[in-house]
Amino acid sequence: MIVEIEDVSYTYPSGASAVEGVSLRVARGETIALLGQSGAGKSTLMKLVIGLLHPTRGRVLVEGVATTRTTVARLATTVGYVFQNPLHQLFAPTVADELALGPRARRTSPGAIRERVEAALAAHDLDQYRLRHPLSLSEGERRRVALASVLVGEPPLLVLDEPTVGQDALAKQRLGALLAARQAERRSTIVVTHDVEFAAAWCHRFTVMAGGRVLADGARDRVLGDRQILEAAALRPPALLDLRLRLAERGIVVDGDRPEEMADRLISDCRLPIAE
Amino acid sequence: MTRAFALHDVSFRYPRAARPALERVSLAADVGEFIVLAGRSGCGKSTLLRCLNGLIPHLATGEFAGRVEVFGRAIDEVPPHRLAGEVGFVFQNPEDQLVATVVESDVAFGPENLGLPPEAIRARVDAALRQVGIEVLRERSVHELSAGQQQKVALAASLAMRPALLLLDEPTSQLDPASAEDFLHLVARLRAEAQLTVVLAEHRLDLALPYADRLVAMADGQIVVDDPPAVALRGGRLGELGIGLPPVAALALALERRGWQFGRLPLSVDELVGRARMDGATRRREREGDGARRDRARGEA
Ligand SMILES: Nc1ncnc2c1ncn2[C@@H]1O[C@H](COP(=O)(O)OP(=O)(O)OP(=O)(O)O)[C@@H](O)[C@H]1O
Ligand SMILES: Nc1ncnc2c1ncn2[C@@H]1O[C@H](COP(=O)(O)OP(=O)(O)OP(=O)(O)O)[C@@H](O)[C@H]1O
Ligand SMILES: [Mg+2]
Ligand SMILES: [Mg+2]
Repeated sequence: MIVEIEDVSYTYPSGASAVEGVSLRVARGETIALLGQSGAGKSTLMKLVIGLLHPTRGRVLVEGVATTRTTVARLATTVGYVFQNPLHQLFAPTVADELALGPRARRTSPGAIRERVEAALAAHDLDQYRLRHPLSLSEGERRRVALASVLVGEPPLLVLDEPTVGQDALAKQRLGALLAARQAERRSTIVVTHDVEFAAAWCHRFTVMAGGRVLADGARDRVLGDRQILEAAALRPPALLDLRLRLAERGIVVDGDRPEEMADRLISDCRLPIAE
Repeated sequence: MTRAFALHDVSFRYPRAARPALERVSLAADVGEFIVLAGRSGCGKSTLLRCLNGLIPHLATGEFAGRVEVFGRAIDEVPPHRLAGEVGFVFQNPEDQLVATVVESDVAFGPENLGLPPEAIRARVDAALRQVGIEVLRERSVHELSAGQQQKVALAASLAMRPALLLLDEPTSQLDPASAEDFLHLVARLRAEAQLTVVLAEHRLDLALPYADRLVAMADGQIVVDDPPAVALRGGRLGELGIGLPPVAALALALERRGWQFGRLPLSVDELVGRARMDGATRRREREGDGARRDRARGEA
């Protein structure tokens, strides 16, 4: 287990209770979507995992060590966190400097830093922005810089808080491929997101929070195909899963998740619609 | 039809930028139109919206050329407070927009600057908080909210201005799907009831397109597609522009390539299921399905 969350609660100093009695274990190689209504406690839970907040009850273990017994800086070598708002983590005067911050803090040699920064600029399509001030970028570009700056540390656990905001289809595709590659390398990723279509396409475990608690945790079709869960968590099913389940209720079995596959099945099973 | 706005040959280059963010962009909308603005990250969507609310060229330095008209007047001739009352804006990053520390003061800030009497301000704040469903947050500190809650404050603040033109920059990016849907329904209702004109920049066309009259797609600072959604989707250029199709539309197009014909291209599962004739197959399979269920039940017993 890379993370063990044991009966954790958290109440903000203002008195707002954000997380209540959550237990969750994350194994190596898992790609988890953390879903749930605005204010459900997702970001708070993730801040407990990176040690930015400490539980008011229970404990969080990262690689077996309680977050209260180590430092945020040390935890950061295991858990990389991309904030929900990129403004909270962009500090350097240029994109290239931003990507070098992490390795420099870990006392990487100058040669190795340069190498990693170059690789990250190329991998995230940021080469043309290397000398730009991060705050002079578009929202989507800023988020890609924030993501790249965390990824240069190659963290065993990566937490992404709303990574698809501002991202076009190609950037999402690239992000999804990155999640798959991490999974193949037995690295873990938690994606906090409202983008159900993205989560359904790339994650394999779905954890749903509501009112500070974990409401559901399981495989995609079981969680996203359950109307009660969706209703309680203000979620909507991914469109093509929804369609597949609705057809199944009528006895039409359509395999596949991709439009082309589904189209082939529908053609053989349903009558042609007439143009209106 | 009355014009809501028009951009004539607008170009803009940010200071020290290698290339312009907008290049000779012309776009006009009639009152009551709903335009969805799409395109790859960095193509100029937010920059275009900034030209429509006067942020560019007034508050941003850079090289500007061209002409912008809002409700029949050149935008630089409209006094700023007047413009603020006519043109509402929801920023892409809600934190950029928060001006006060408490939710209700943040929502009241705009109406106060319009010089409205206190009762009118209170009425507008109450209505806006109710419309986005955050009455319970009214006395909370804006810095002690989740990101989605902050985005709802930003939405309420823009609604409290009762604008005639509403510019929305990925306005539901931090909202759960139910809240996102509620907000877009609300905007659609205001448009029907109050002739609101809407420009919505969005990457997730599945959310936005069902409400749109026009899909305007940009690439490298220029407008490259401007069509009704179904025409744009069938046109086949969106994919090569890096714009993701709504999954249902992608399926419907795949079906059309196999010989099905949809009059209006379905954009939601409801529309698709309603439009496709599945009854024949359905009845046959329902019978089989019932039989199978009975067999299973018997086996379990
Ligand atoms: N303040 C600035 N200074 C210099 N360049 C800028 C500035 N703001 C934006 N740009 C550049 O202008 C171009 C258009 O940016 P804009 O924010 O309009 O893109 P966008 O289409 O809204 O992208 P996204 O989908 O990522 O929000 C981008 O290449 C961006 O890097
Ligand atoms: N700094 C803070 N001080 C006090 N309360 C807070 C603070 N940050 C968040 N909260 C409250 O804690 C609860 C959980 O917030 P959190 O940010 O974890 O939600 P979330 O699930 O990430 O929501 P979103 O999807 O909107 O980002 C909310 O009710 C929120 O108002
Ligand atoms: Mg959050
Ligand atoms: Mg933008």
